[in-house]
Amino acid sequence: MKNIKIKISRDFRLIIGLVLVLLPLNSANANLNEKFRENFGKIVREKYYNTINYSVDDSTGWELKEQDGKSVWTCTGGKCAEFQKKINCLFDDAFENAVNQTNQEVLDYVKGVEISELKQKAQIKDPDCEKITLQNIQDEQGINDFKSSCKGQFISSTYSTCRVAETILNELGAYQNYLLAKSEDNISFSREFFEDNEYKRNKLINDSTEAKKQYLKDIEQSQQAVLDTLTLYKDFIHRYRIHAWLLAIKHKLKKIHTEWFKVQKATETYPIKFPKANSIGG
Amino acid sequence: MKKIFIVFAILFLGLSGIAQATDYPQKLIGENFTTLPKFRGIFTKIYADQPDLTEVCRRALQWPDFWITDTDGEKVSLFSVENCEKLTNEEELSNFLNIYKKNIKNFNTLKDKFEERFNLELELLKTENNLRRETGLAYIFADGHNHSNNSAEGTTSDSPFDLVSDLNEIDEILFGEKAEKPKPLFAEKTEREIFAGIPTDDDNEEYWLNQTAEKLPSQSDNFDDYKNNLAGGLWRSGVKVLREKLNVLPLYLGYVGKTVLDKFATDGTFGNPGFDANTSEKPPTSEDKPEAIELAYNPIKALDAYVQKYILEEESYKVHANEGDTERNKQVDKVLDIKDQQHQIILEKLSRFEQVNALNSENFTAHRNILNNQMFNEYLKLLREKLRFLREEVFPDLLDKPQHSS
Repeated sequence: MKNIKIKISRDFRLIIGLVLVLLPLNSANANLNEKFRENFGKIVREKYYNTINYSVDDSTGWELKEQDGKSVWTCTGGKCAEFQKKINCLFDDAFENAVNQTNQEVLDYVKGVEISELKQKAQIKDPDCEKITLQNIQDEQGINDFKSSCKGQFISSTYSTCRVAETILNELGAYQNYLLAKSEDNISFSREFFEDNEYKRNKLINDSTEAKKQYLKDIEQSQQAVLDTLTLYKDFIHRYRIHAWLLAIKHKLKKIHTEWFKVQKATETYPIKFPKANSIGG
Repeated sequence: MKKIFIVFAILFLGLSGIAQATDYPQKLIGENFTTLPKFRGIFTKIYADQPDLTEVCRRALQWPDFWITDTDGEKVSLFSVENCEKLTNEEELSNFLNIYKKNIKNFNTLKDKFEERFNLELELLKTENNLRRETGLAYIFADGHNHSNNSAEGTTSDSPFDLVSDLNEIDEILFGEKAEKPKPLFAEKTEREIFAGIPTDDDNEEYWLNQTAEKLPSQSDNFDDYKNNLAGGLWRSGVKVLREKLNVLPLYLGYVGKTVLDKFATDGTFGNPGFDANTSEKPPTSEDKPEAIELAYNPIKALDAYVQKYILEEESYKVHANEGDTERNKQVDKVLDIKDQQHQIILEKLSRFEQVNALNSENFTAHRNILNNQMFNEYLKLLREKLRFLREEVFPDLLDKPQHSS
């Protein structure tokens, strides 16, 4: 708890700093302070230690596309795609390695017992995600000066729910701040979709209003998706660990059961061969 | 009055859960998770699993407020379903309604009402989706269906492993023919069986009215002193029905609903603070931490205390709070809305959960109760939000049944 308190306190100072440069936001043209805009990527990284680089001028990638006769906001590339891909890869990596690590842990403990179900390596990761691993991202966040709050041997392991949550929430926080900045900014929108005709320029202003609503919506949506997936991961890993250990118990019992069966058979031989024999009469 | 709202909020969630029962267990987010590789891309799938606005629209238009009887005596919708189905986001709702501005009397009242109904249905659908994901994916791992490696042995496989099947196999090794393999109740029921005996909407009212004291659960005796009390009447007439509904609802939803009822019974919401539906439960033993005990028995109070202690009393927040309602503070609030604190609370929850994995079983049980209650608290927050909405907007339409029954 102490660590978390310290983090909140430090974050808060950073937020205050961030807000001081954000103050001109309420002006009519709703453009970001130029100094803030220049340093945006650095400010966000100092706060979230994120590994995706952000600049206010980066495209979010959200565009209105026709789908079944409807206009639907679609992530077509840009930062939304980069964020989604990275988080997806991190979760896949977490699932795959947590399963394989648990299997190995159990196999090491019950040496000599054959557990075929645990010997097979789980393959969940997409080949595209090869370089995006939790270990790499945690290392990078460490280079950005992030100190983990997850203490203890088990909890501090790369694939513990605590570390997975910490790593991914850092990336999420940065992405949300980026979207918030984009929703307060007109310049980058005009630069991205420049129009020289007045009618189109007016339309662009309307479009930017709609786009900004989508950015704000994505702040909520991305958070909900991350939290839901984290909950699932926590439940899954907890249950998988029980499953792996139950398999170990089952296979050990099978071995004992087989031995017991041999003893039972051997002790049955004598009474079957000499049914009338007893200890008194011979 | 507050008590009636609570009952109906639960009923509301309960009814919405019945619809999703048909989804169990295969259509959790539109996919099966029978093998580990099928977990690939799980985040993207969850990200894309957002409420379908066409469905929201369809549900909103079903409210009787938007139906009139035409010259042929048939009931028709005031607003066109086809137009409504073209909605792509909430912002277009106003544009959609403006199409009808010239043609409908009392347009402004209806417009406001439709927006309210639309938002209510949107919230309910979001709640359904969240519950479906959170519960379904957890329960397929312990519903007694054989895991995929043994699919040849029969029954529908729905997960890469199953803890109940594991325990059954161990039971068989240990006790051979004498092994007891309890079948999980819900997993073995067909949809027909699940819904058999549940009063339909048509006979529901009769069911409500015809209940006698003999049919009621024994706990209802506790409410004899409240015979003329609305809360007591509600308990006698309504809770049985609610419980029956909840008992056949799938998974965690049922659990949450029952817990809600039990908690309200315990804290005196139904008029008898002495009644404890959970007497068999052992109290938490997690080193007697006040917040842990609070959390186990009074989640709302505990969360408030938690926020007060760890967030509002945090030094830097105090500084901010003391500055008053300045423009600068509003800006700070806006940025704070990014929910850093929420992240920290979640992290704390997860970290605490993992700590208990490494502790002994007694601590584990206590902490698991706490975690359950934290999840329970999330649902309570949703309920409170719904209550607010119900109290302000929807309640008059739902008042009929409790009035009959009391």
